Amino acid sequence: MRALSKGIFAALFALCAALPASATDWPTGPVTMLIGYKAGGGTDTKGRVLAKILTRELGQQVNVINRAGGGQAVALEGFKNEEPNGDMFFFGAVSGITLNPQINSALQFRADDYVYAGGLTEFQVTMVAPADAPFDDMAGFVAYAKEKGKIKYASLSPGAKIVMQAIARQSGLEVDYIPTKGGRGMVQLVLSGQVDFAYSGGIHARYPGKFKTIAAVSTKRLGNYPDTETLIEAGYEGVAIDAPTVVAFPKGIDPAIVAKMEAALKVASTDPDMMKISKSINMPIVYQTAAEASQLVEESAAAITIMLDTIGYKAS
Amino acid sequence: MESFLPVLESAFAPGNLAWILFGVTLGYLVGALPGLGKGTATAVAIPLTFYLSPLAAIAFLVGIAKGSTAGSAVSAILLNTPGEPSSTPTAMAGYPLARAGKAQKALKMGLFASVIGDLFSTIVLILVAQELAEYALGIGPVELTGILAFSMVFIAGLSGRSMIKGLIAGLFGILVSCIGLEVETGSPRLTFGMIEVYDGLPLIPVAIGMLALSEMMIQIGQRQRLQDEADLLQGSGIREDRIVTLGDWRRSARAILRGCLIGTGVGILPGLGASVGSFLSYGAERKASGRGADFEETGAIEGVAAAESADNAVVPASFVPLFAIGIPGSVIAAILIGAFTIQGITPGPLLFLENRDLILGVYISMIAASLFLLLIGYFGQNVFARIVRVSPALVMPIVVFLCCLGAYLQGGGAFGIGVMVVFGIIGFFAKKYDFSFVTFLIGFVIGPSFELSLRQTLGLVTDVSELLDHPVALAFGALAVFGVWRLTVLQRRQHEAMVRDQP
Amino acid sequence: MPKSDLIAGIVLLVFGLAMLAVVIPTQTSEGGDATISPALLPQICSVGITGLAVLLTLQATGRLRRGVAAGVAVPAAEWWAMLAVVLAVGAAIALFVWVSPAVAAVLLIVGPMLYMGERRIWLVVGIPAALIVGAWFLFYRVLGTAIG
Repeated sequence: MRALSKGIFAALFALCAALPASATDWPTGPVTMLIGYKAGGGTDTKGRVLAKILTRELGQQVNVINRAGGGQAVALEGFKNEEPNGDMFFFGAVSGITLNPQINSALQFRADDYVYAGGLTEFQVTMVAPADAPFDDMAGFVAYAKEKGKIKYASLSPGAKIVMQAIARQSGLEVDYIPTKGGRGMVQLVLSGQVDFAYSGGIHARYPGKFKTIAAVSTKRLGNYPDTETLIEAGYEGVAIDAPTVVAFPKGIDPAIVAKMEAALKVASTDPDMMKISKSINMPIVYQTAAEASQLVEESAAAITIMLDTIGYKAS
Repeated sequence: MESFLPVLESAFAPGNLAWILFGVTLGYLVGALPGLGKGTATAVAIPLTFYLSPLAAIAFLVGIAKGSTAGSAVSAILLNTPGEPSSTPTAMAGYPLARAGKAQKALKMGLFASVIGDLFSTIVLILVAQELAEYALGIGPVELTGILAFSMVFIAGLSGRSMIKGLIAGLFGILVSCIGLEVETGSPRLTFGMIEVYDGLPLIPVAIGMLALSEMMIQIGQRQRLQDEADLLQGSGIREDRIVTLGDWRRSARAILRGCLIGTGVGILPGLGASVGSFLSYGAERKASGRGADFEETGAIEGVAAAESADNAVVPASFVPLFAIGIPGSVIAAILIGAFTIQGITPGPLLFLENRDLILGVYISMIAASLFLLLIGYFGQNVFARIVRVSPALVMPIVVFLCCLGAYLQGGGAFGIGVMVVFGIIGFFAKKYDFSFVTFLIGFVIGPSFELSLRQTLGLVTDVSELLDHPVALAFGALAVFGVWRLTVLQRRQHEAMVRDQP
Repeated sequence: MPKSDLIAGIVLLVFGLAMLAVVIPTQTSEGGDATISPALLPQICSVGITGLAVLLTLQATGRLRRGVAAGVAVPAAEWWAMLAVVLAVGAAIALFVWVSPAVAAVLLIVGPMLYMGERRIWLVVGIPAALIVGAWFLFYRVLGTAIG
């Protein structure tokens, strides 16, 4: 009897061990990392370092493929329809997943079309001003803007404009939106003294002594700016865009594959190459488990919905 | 000074030199292949640099950038298939020379002009990067609007025989550039529901289709005649047609000097780009020579010199804002940021303080790359010049394949190839029916920058009197207006002459 | 007598009017708070194209009436070559998406070769093989970038 129960127990144990084992065969062939930006950009650079580490950790070649356009929308729209077999995964900022479908009704994908295997780093999304600006926080900025009558704001993306519109609506500010393309266009406008205020994906940290960080746009305080208040803390409810970089699979993926990727990301988060690159692009490593990443995506999408309601945004 | 020796040692270390040489060779080869150009070459090579030391990696990429910029003259002159918009003027003035049996002369002049432009611009970068960068920052959106307006009007003068058709092509180019998300509101414009075009139609596939694929369609249709002329393309057999003579130098010296200045100036200003540099330089030489459309009919060695010197001068000059303030002046400079970043280096004001040795090493490597370019180009040309001896039935399918590869890499996959085909067809019609593809491309390339800087200007300048604070912008604006007036006068004269000729 | 300018003028006229009447109103938004409406630049271009097309048409009509050529004639061989290239690349895209990049590349290279009369078998096999293996090696082995 005892032997029997022992045998059953052993068999059950073997079965339990065998179940995930069948899936951990993944990957059996080359895996493709999908990046929503052009080769040579910030996300691409980090992605390629990650691909190198994953190649080592997963034991199969990880190739990078770039499908740029529409702030990652082009890549994500196609990725939704990929087979959920682990042959392809997406690497990029969460903001592309949460913000895009809410401001563009033509897009089919939604944040819950994907399964998140974890987060790795975090864009330091902030509101910034020139270093010589006569204010240091949001309250100071609002007072300054009211005194000046109308301020000039560098708007580098639809998201950047929405954030400022929400602030302006709530504080009753008048703003001239100066459109610009990408972070470097914004830096140029600020350095040459053309604008009073701007939105930065974190790029301003590369120009020490030229910028002041006024507020964090994320839902929680940022790794590089622990002393800087978030917009939510400053009283702007729901005004937040989170942009941690995550790894995502299409819905329907085998949980064992997600678990294996999650473990590989954990290793990548302490890899010296990854630490070196994170330092040089001023993007701290913020490792998140699959569960943490999924929760963040959900919260972040909800915050954006509130923000869009505040300004009465109509998706185009 | 004492720290200078180790820098020299590391820059001239055999490993580093080998990487520069490899970069220049690879770049020249890729640039010389039709349908592939400097953007593709540099972007594709980035992953290679993972395995190198920072200096070797950056020197390698700089070598690729320089090599491919000069190499693109080869396919432009020999096959009339420029790999990038910026080598279009080289093809316009150089291909007729090749057809007249002077391919080797044109190739050599192209190379010499490239190296001179490159060296000149590199030296400017080394000596005055800091000072120039401060100045470039003063060129804001308002000034840029003026400069871009002036450039568009000036380049419209290259529109070929019919001004009406040239203007139609230019407007069509701007119209096509409107496709995508509009930059101020972010609302889709002329996208027909296709999200692939949200960032606009990809430049390289449009350019390859318009320039190279359409040319292949035409050449495949005329293959019998080309086969018959193949003997002439190999060279006339006269020594003067193979070398650059003293007379050629005399004719081209002014063009090269002007090209160096224009290319360097355009490179330093972020937001203009190599195409503006080579077209402006070419247009200025065409105007100065007083030969007009004859330039493209019989070919012009000074036209090749003007275009190539400016095209190459843009590359090092576009590193001025990159090194000094961290803002790239060109696509290549933007790609280099990625390479710096991978190596843990931040381009920008701190570069000279924190990584002074590295920058010095990069400077030395850049000069070495210029010299390698001369060597590789000079001997490489002999190999490439043999292409014309190969049967068109073998060359053209390979060119078509390479065009597809280039469009694939820079245009988001199969979609990019589709875009290339569409613009191949449009280019075929444009070339056959004399709708200037030059004005089309300029409209397409400059259109978005112009619209953006105009929108910025309208946001920044709230009162007309504020314009007085922007004398540079006013000067270029006035030049643009003057240019429009001149063009109208010229057009009327042309028309009167035509009426006289046709009783 | 070639009258391509006349045809081009009329086609462009129709194109410009279609842009103004149908495409721009349906494919651009008014943009509300923008300093310039997103539709403005497309409108300016379309108005310009329409106006110039009218001029081109008038000019061509005038010439044809005087018995002067208005445009050029394109030989049939060049039309066929254009069509052949478009078909080859079009078919290659289809194969690329639905079958495999390698098959597409073979068609793309071999098709035009055969069209242009190349019959030497070692070249028809050798060139595509060399190009495809070269591209595969460069992208997958050296660069770690996927195609497809």
